[in-house]
Amino acid sequence: MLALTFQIGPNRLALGVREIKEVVPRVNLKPAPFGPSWLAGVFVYRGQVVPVVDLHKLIAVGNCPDFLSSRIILVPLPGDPRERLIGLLAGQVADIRELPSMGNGSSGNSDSSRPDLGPVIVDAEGIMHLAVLDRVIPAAYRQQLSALCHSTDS
Amino acid sequence: MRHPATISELTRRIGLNPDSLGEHALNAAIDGRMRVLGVFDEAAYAIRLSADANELQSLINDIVVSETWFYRGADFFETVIPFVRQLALARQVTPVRILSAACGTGEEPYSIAIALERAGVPSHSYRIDAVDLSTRNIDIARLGKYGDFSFRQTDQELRSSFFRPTGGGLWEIQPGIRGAVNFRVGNLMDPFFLGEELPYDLICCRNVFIYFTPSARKVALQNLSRLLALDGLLGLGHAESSELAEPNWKRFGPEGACLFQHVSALMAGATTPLVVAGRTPRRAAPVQIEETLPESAASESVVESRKHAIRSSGQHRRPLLVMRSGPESHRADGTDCWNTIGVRGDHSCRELAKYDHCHNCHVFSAAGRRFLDNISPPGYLAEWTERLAEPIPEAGRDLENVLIFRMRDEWLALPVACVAEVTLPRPFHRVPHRGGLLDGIINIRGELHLLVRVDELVGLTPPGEEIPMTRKSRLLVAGTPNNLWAFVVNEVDRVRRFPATELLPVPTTVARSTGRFSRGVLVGDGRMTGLLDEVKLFDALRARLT
Repeated sequence: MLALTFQIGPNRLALGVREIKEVVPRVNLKPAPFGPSWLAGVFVYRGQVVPVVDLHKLIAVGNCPDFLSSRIILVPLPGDPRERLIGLLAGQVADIRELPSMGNGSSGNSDSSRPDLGPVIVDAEGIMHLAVLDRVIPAAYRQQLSALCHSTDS
Repeated sequence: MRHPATISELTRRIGLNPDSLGEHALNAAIDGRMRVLGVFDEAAYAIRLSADANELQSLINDIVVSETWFYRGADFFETVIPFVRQLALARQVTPVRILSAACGTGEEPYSIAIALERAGVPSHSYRIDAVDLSTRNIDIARLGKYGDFSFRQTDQELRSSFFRPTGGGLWEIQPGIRGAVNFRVGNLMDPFFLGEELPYDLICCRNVFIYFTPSARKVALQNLSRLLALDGLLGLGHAESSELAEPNWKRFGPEGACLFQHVSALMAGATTPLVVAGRTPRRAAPVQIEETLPESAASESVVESRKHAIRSSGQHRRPLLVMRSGPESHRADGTDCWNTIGVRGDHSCRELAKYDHCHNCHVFSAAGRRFLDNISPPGYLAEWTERLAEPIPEAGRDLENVLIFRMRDEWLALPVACVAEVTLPRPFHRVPHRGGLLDGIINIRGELHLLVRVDELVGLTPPGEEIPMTRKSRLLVAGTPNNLWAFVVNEVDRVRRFPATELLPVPTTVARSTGRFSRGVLVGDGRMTGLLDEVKLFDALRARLT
């Protein structure tokens, strides 16, 4: 499986490229009033409002560095029938590599109420999580995101 | 405007302000390219342009005019040459870096090289990079042959000392001068324009902004200010100097020279721009910063060290996109190697045998990583916010890629996803006592595939008749990954991207033969192309042959 690698604080993650719509640079995000702390804000992507999750805040590992390598990974909101997009703000979004496929990791504790980075593999640099979107963003969080997605063509 | 989609694509990609060239010239260039390609539909051409970098380059080459001459702007040269000369003397070791952005056919960078040569500046003490959007311009510049028009402000004496006449009324530049300029292709709209380069002490971008839209000017100016050394000079055209906000930029030299220096260069210590005599460093460096310099930087000239110091002390105004993280920079650990011994340099690096190109080398990717670990430059977030908010043109959505080929006299297409290979026809093993759709067995890359008659299956060839073979004939290997078929087609055209909305239903008149296997019809390139339904087609083959 071809996967995009990135970091959230000290944690290294990989996400299959087939799940990714686009990777875009950081943008000026509009804060969502009364939004949860892990919500970095919203921005307009090709005419639709896309909420962006700050993965660092989501798992409480400090702030995402304001480097060029920090970028927004656009993915469809897990479980959303209209596949509206959400953004994941992460660090070191700079590489794509071939990883052994790990099947469908969404089974197991996908109904957990807390974000979870997914199963791990070990490579030369240590531990890497194979991120599973609906485990990274559990159902309760998805509901909040869903309320923020607006698209003009829906 | 007659070609709205194409022109807006051009504006997006190269920042072109269509009014600057005039409707007529622009339309003529686009019409010309469409004629060359045999495309008659403007929308189809715009899609092609957005997907095909080669076509974009061809159109750019036809559009970008190079209207310049040697020694254009005498004031400019009279100010710039002493500046470079004095800087070179003060530096001693590090070359003065000069960039001619949008150099056209090379008259400007060559003029600078000639003028420096005449001023007695040794060629190892400066480096001139010259960039243009048009590959055609760069080719002409590298060739270094010019007609009379380029010499309209040059005196005879200068021409005969630096050029020699060649055939056809052209004058060829002296090899020594030609070797002093490094030409390359680049786009000022690229946010990473020359992103791997060190700062330049002089950047000329004269009479270029006039062709840009206001927002494109901003992007270009951001790139140039990023690339400009702290106390470097920026040269613009006369009409363009209003781009620079007065509080941030100060004129340097006479008004006619149109040279500018960023004010932070003045605030950082110097009271007057460049009052240099002999080898005096251009300004005194604050002592406490000087003391913190590591060994590696101390060996360099004072001016250079001071630049490092300012950069590392965080008062530096320029965004840090330059691939250099601090004082222990490229010369200490060799991270600039792609410019010296790599593909941008003299190719003497031994690793090239292993990696082919610096892009594949771990040293280059490590430098890339360091580059990405810099803080985003000012305006970067705002620019991307604006860019991503723009909707994608309707035509850009839901594109499907198909391979277009001809069977007999009919043009057909198959989705590229089911095409494994296009290759030349080759001998095959005839299967005895099998006729009909199966011709034989063929070996492709060590795998045996059935050679079948798709032309007969879809009803283009009557049963029993051979498919004619010509030099244009090709062998297609297509199907599902574990069930591939080989078949001969009479010609393969190209891969085309088309939006799903362009697919028309099969007209009843065509439905006679291929219609059974058609998903629809594509109109374009002056013909009708039947898009084959790959599922039905391969199912039918399976049903008839296995």
